Amino acid sequence: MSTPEALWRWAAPAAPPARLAALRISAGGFALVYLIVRTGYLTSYAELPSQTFHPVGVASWLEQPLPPAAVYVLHALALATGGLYLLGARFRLSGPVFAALLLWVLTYRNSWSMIFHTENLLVLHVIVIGLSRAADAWAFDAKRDAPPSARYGWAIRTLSALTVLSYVLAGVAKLRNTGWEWALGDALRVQVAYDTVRKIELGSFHSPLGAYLVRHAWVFPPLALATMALELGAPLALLRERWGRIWAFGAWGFHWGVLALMAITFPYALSGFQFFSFFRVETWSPLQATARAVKWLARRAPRLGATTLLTFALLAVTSHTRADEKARAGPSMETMTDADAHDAAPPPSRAASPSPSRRAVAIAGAIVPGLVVHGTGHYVLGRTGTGSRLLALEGIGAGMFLAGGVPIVLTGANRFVVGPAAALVIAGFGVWSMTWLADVYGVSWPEHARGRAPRHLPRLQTELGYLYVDHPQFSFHHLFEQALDFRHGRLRLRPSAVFASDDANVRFRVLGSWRWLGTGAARATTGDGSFTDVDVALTHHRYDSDGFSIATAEAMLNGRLDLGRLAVDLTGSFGEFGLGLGLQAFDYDVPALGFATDIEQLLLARFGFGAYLGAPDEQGGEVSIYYDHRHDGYAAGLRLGGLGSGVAGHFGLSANWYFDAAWGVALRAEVGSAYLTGFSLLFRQGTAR
Amino acid sequence: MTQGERFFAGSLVIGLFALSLLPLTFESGEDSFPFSSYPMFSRPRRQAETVQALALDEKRRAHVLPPSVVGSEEAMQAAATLRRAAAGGGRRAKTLCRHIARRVAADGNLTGAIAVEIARISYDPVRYLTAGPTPGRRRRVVRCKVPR
Repeated sequence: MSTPEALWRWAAPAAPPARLAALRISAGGFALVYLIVRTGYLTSYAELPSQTFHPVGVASWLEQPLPPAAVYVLHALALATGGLYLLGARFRLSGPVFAALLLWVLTYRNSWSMIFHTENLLVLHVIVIGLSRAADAWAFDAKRDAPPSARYGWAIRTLSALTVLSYVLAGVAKLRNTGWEWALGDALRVQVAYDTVRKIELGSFHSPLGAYLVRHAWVFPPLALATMALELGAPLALLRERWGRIWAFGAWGFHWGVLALMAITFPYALSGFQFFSFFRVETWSPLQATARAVKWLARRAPRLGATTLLTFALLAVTSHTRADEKARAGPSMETMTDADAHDAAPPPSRAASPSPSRRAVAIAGAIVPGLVVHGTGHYVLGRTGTGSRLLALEGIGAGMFLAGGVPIVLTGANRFVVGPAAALVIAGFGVWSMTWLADVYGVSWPEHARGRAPRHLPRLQTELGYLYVDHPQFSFHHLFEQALDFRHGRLRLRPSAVFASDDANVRFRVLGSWRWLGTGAARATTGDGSFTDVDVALTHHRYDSDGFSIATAEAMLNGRLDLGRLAVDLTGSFGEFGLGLGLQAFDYDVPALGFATDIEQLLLARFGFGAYLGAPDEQGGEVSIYYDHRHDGYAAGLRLGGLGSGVAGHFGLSANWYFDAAWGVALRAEVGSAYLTGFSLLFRQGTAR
Repeated sequence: MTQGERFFAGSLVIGLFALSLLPLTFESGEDSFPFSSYPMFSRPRRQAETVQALALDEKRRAHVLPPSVVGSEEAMQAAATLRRAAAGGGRRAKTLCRHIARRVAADGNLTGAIAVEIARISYDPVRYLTAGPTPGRRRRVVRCKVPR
């Protein structure tokens, strides 16, 4: 065999058409979603002045920016052909056309400020796939699956080779600009520090981990060495299929590391799609299910076309209202002349509020596709920084969920693994759900109606309440609750008791708490309600009519973060997390079984999302929804079918509202295997010193 | 696979690889899209420099103004606006400074500010994170009065 023939056989191995089709769906689907959620951002350049236009790549021939209408039309065309590309419909035309439009739209965007290196491989992959026979399977036009062939393999190999080449080039750039000393770690440490400090000083979101690790220089040499090995050793990934997979996992982890260290998002890489060409993705059931969905959608192409048109109409409304808002807000900073500056009325200190129609589109976007792509609502409003942070946090939450969930599945919930792994799963789900709720809150809750954190906490609060419980196991329904909440400086003491009026059931509990971080009780806060508390509690719950009682000792770390710290668009909302451990000792009313015959461990985990209402010091309060993993409360754990039964805790909603400086009410509802609802009267006095 | 298909695929692959390698010929600092030399993180930056909008009080103490006063809730966009204004020369920086000063005058939380200054501030980033956020070297670009 001649050398060119051997090279060709390596470059174009036989591959099934379904594999290339799966890559079309993953890369095309990602590109389409990327264009949709970044519509506001990608078209915002239509209105900017020409001084800031520095065309690159295929836009280099432009001497002036395009007219705004052309920017909108090209973006809309990219969305339309992207849908056809994803479905594999008329692919000989839609493939190259979408690739060309995506190249144009992203090149044009990169011609305005800095070049984003997060989009290069996405464009190159879409081009290669668009120019190949990627719609011979799992597509609108596909008649039947063809046998494996080099006509599919060359494109797959090219995707892998382009991916590898981009990492090699990044490695070569380090050698050219710094030399081999880059691998010693100092350059990486300085780069992380530079990026972190710049973000801190600009008030942008930065990585706390990066800021922490810069203090420990020894961390960076191994990280730098691993980075260089990953980049310059990337060609090995093309030699063996197995090596390719190992490298792909390494590169994927590398991007997660970049996110953790520098809060820089490479969405295509983080999603994993960038590395799919190294795997036999056609055998993966989620992609097979997606392919079935694509076929189903393809059969309904005409109706889909109508939906696409509707999407364009919505986008047109969005763009139109955006232009209106700009006009209402006055000339932009970029276009303002000296004369404008003198004539303009004093502008508001915050950016102009979005119009109702634009807000409605943003709310719809925050729900679909926002449930999957968190931050969509803010992207639609053009608040891309907030959208990107929410999206990055969603990725972190999903990563934590998988990092905890996979070991549980692989070890069959091994008892040594399940505790920390379950905590990671719950925390990951908490971050994931919090970012979605924050996106919905940020775009739907009007800025003028947002509340603020209390500036003082009461020295003493008395609570008297009623609870109704509908439990499948126990006969009691009506409960009365009394509690005292005493604060002194950072210390909090909360004794409480719950009595059933229709059964012999009573629960006593004493909670002691120390405010570890955050201002709060010790002095007036500066409008930030964030805190971290160390809680310890003892509980004695007597089920006299059922013949047993439970004593519980527990310790827990509980925290709240005001999300205004994350992004100004989320001001007025907060996220809560808690993690701890408890020990339960059971005492049965049976002569042979004494106290602590059974001792059980209890994983305590909790997360929630909430919003402040009004001014809680005078008139106002807060509302939150939460998940609590504990099963020993009145709501107990969720009753689910299958393997999940008995695992999950309960969900709840709580709210409080103070009518004045003294009196207020609290409401609570929880859903587990039991249903609980109730209210309390609150009376507060004094200010904690 | 037909000869025509082989020719097309081969030409495309060679073309893409040639274009991907083209950035190796770029001058330092030059970049393009989607074919890039991937220069990010390749060069250590010993000094971090930001362009900031500062409010000066009666004792000439400087307070960093939030991005919203500069003109955008997005910190990076506000930073880009300041950076471009500083790079664009005196007239452009002065226009922006006056515009910020009007916003400061309209903001009830900034009543103590008597002047606005756009300044370049340099930091040693590692020292900043290891020894604490020490004040960096400040170089004034432009200063303007807050209209009261």
